Amino acid sequence: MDDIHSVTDLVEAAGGLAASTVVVAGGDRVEDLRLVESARDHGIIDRIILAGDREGIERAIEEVGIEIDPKDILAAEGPEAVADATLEAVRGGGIDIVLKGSLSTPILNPRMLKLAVRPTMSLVTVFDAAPIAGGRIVLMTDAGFTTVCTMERMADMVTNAADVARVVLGMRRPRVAILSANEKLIKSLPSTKMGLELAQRDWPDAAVCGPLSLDLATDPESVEVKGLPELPNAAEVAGWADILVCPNLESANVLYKMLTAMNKYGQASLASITMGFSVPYSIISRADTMETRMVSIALCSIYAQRTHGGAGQAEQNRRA
Amino acid sequence: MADGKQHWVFRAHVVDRAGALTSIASAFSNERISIDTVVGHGSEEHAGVDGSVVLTFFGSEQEKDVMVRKVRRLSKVRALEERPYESQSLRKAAIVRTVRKLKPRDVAGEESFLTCEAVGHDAAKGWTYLLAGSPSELDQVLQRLAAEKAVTDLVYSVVGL
Repeated sequence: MDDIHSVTDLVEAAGGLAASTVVVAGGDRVEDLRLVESARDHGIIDRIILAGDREGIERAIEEVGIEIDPKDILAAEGPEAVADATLEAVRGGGIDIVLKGSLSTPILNPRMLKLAVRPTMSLVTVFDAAPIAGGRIVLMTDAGFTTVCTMERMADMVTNAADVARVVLGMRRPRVAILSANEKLIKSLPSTKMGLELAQRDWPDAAVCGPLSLDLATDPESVEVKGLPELPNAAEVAGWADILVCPNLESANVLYKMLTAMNKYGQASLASITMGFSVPYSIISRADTMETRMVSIALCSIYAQRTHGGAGQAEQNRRA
Repeated sequence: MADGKQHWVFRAHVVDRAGALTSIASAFSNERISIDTVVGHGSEEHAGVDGSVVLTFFGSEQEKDVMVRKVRRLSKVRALEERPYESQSLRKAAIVRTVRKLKPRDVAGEESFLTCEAVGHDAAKGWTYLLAGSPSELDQVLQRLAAEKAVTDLVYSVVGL
């Protein structure tokens, strides 16, 4: 874990652990096959299972020139059947990561919910960006999964993100900022109330502070200028947050897209994992760069290997 | 070049040279830019001495700028210098085998003569020379010698700055 100083280091870190098995839901897309082939070259994954239309998969395999064991093609006709085949593959054991391929999210997500092991599923993004937090690694949530952010869901999102911080980055007691537009309680700004209530909860394994604006969460100079806010855990978190919990999907998504633009410019790196399922679920967008897609697979693989010892280990445990 | 691509040289000062090579190669691969040549120098056996990686690639100025930012942000890269391949501050060295003895006019570049040192000769393999100069001038000389069928083998070449 000491070797992860930037998000791109996740690739090498994942390659140093046992390799994972990935199932691609809709495995007939050339760019997805290039991604998993590259991940296999880096030692991140060693087995690739493709669920989808057999003809489409075989066409993509031929175009990419990737070697896939014929028994690792789960042929299914129609999107619903492909989603079912993916679900059954995970339930059958031996899968470490689900990668969304050409299958559409509205078809796949309802099946994935059957694999839920936590009350809330959320997208956790790990990033480093030159202008934010001095370029150190920070996590943010949730830019793309949880549409309705109730108090309990927000609390679960803190738990999910803190879990990634601990397991992947070795942060023992991550510093969590519940973001808003202001650090004071403002009646007309409901997220300030939510931030304060979350911060007032008992968090044994995290330091939670809120509401905090982005600058007060990540920039020590802003804290010096504006002063330390009178909030729970402010001394520990303000200026040094490890996790940014956005008040809703919209604000998280805007931040995510900003990071994506910075990534394309060469000023940021980011990787995402969807938490809450029995295996890490990767729903990276085709609009994401190859770097983001590769690092996301690495992030999922590290999480899988460090939590379950990978599916191979899980199978051994079952046999034992 | 007609397609707006230029030839660039990066020299990265790195820690953990093997790891740095992997991460730099990944960064280029992710941007779908092919590395033309790459050479690593220095070694971890020399405690406290950083290694360096020199590589060349073709790309537009915009692509080069993105790669500068991406490579500088890699945790194993301490510093990065970048130059156009034509820069006079670069030096390229090459070891070549030739069928005949080279004369001063053979190693004349556009603006200067290359450094040329005969380092070997045997009846079967011909003459072996160490040539050095600016990359663009050395390339011109090598192309000219190749066109004259004077060169039998380019044993090794390396760019440094």
